[in-house]
Amino acid sequence: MSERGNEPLVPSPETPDDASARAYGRQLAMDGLLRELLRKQPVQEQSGEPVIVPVAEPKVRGSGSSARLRRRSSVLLPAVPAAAPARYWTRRRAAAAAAVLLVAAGALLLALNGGRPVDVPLSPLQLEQRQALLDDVKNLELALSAVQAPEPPEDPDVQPFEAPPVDTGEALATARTAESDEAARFIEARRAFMLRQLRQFEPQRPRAAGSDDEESMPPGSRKQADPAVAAVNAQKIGRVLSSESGDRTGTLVRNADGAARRIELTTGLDLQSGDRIETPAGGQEACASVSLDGGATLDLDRGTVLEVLGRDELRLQTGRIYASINVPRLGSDQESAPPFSLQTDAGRFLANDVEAEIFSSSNAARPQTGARVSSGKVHLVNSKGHVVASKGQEVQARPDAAPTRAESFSAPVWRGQDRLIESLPFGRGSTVLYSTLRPAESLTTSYLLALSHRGEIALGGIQASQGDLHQEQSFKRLVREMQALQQAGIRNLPPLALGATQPLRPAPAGKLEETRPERTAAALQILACAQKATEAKPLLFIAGGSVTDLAYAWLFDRSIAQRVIMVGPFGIKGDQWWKLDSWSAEIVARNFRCVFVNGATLKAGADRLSRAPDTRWSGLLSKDADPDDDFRMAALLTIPDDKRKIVRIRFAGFHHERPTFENDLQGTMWRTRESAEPGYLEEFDRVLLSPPVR
Amino acid sequence: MDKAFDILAEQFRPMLQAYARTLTDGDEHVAEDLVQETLLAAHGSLDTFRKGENFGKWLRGILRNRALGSRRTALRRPLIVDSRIVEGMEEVYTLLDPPHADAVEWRERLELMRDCIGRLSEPLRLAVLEVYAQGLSLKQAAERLSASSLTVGKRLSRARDLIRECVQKRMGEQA
Repeated sequence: MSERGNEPLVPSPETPDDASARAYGRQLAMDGLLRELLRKQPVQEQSGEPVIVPVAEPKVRGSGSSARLRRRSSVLLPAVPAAAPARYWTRRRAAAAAAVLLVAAGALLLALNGGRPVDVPLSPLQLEQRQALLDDVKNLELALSAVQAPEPPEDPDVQPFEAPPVDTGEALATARTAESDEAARFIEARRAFMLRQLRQFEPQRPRAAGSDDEESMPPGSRKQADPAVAAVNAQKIGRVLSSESGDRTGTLVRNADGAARRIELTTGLDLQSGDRIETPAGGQEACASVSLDGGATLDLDRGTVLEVLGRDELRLQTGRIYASINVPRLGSDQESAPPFSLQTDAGRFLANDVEAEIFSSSNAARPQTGARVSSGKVHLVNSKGHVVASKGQEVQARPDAAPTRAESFSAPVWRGQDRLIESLPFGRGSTVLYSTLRPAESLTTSYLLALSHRGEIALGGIQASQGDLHQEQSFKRLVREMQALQQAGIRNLPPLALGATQPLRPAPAGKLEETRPERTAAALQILACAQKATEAKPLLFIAGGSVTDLAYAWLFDRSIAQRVIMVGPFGIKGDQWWKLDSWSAEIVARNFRCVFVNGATLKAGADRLSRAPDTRWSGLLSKDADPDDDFRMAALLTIPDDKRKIVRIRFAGFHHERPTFENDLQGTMWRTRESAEPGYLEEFDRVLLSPPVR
Repeated sequence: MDKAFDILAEQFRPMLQAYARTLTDGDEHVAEDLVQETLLAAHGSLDTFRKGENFGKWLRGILRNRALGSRRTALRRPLIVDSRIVEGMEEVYTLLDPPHADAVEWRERLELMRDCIGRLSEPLRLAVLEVYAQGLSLKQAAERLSASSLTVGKRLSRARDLIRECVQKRMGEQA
């Protein structure tokens, strides 16, 4: 009933009998009359008896009741005073003059446009993007209406941990059934993928012994063919990230033209399918680290023999590795991506997203294999059965028995090389949103679009962020370039969104949490993408410009802080995200997980760009964008962690109006910088200056 | 005819506005639309108005029907539809708008309430003035009056009853 604030001025009756209801009605009536009597009257400039303004049948469209209402309402207009003051007529004349000017301007615009209504046509791409955005917003609003946004957790860095299933017969049977179904899907996906891959290989022609090619080999490398080295078509599928020198140097055995070549394992060495890596025995430290294009980074312990059969297929003969496997998502359906496969004598490991120590015993009499899972999930399959292991669990298998699972580790996890932290809090499967000041003039835009085109990343959108004087022009240029790319056949182009035009203005008294957010297209796009993200597979917001739209998105739905990670620059040249909008930056720093990147800029070189063989990128490979500061952030997706030093920090407030950070092992921020040559140029060349991808 | 109706409508407008606002739970915009619609509908069906009938009551009836008709579309807040509550409201309005009353006097009769407010005891009068004249919420008024919200609410309820009884008495005296 009538109320101000939250309390009704006339409380409803507790007992709904006739007398109470009537008394309530009387109270309500008195309430209304008192309001009418005592409300503050607006100051009127003129007074006078109401006079009926002649109704000259005003031109009102329609014939319904509302139209009649509008017609009739003219009889109820306030009266014009008999002796109207001069200012009254002055205002009327001014209003009339303004109306005439407006009509004249409209007529002029019509005439200039050839008599057609002035309307900016939308391209099909824009229409599609708009519809996609509308659909996302619709879904978002439905979701928001169903769930009240919870407060962000105190420590967003806490990773979810699946509770072990209740150990009852029924629960166990259900869990086993689910695992069986999942394992069957994995195996089938893997089988189908391998069948497709096999079609690409032609049968190998056996080579005659003592051929001329063998004579041309360098001295010392001429050996008989090693039957243990796989004889498949050689193609580059990865590289050696690091390798110990001296007595701990490993060896790469490569099947070259039917003969085995033993090559010293050195940093930067390319890996080919069929290569076998052998590390010397003895000691405890990892002595090599390799990266495979299929999405795996592997640390090899001493005494390990590992065959690289393909970009996502390995065979561990003996020893142990620490595997960080994150298979890039090929499409929207995660299940469609074939899992990574690691074969041992006692069973095969299958995984899409896992970090685990995997070991294999080469004891011929009784081979054994096992894995200790740090994060993610791995399947272990052999001819006797299968088992699934999640974070904190250990699986083991022998060839003559079904794999078994333990709920805890039998020994501490061997984590490979001495890493400062386990890893960055995301993998290559995370969706990426790129927001920057001039996206159409950024090499990083080209790089991300090319990665998306190749199916290596899921690019959720590109945004023109606040902070650029020519924001709108730059955005329009980006739209044009994207249309050209679409017509040229570039796939997986993301939707575009224009960001806020002004920095965030906090509520009075600086209460950021009470700030009213703006419904910018970029903020809505962030919300839509964040809805599809999870804490384990978060949305990566690469901030080349301000973070105003991310702050707005948080003000709309605070739960996104768990599902979005801001990736931003760090250091003297990297504080733009802070300077452009410090209020928004504070919101982000206090609430989101952040990854800051110190590092070199990409200097592709103007002459290099002109040599790009795929001319479809020429519009975006702007020479003005060289060098590019944002590339180091995008490269987090493709250049593995081992190339970096990573330190956990936390936001520690302000000092002289600048943000300060402190080292904290439990902090929700990761600060990275290169520990070696980052390889930006090679990565750029690989993606953009390589032959066109059809 | 039009001129006479418009003058009449203008004089009843405050009463209709108060009535509509109460009926629509304080929704100002909907109440204003309802008043406009009511006056237009009354203008269109003046021939159905029987001479000697209470004009204010006739207008309120039209407004109620209009409100019920637009409940499904226009109203954003709950509409008072309980006939017993409406009867209670009608008691008060009839008090101020007796049969055969001269419409011009309606505003004057509303002013009787002002006189009755002045006769209230100080706690009750202050509560009425803080809430209705100053536009404060119960909580704000309670803070200003150094009392609890519950107390201020009770004072308001008591004040409304006393004002109604006062108006009733004054109307009887005038009659």
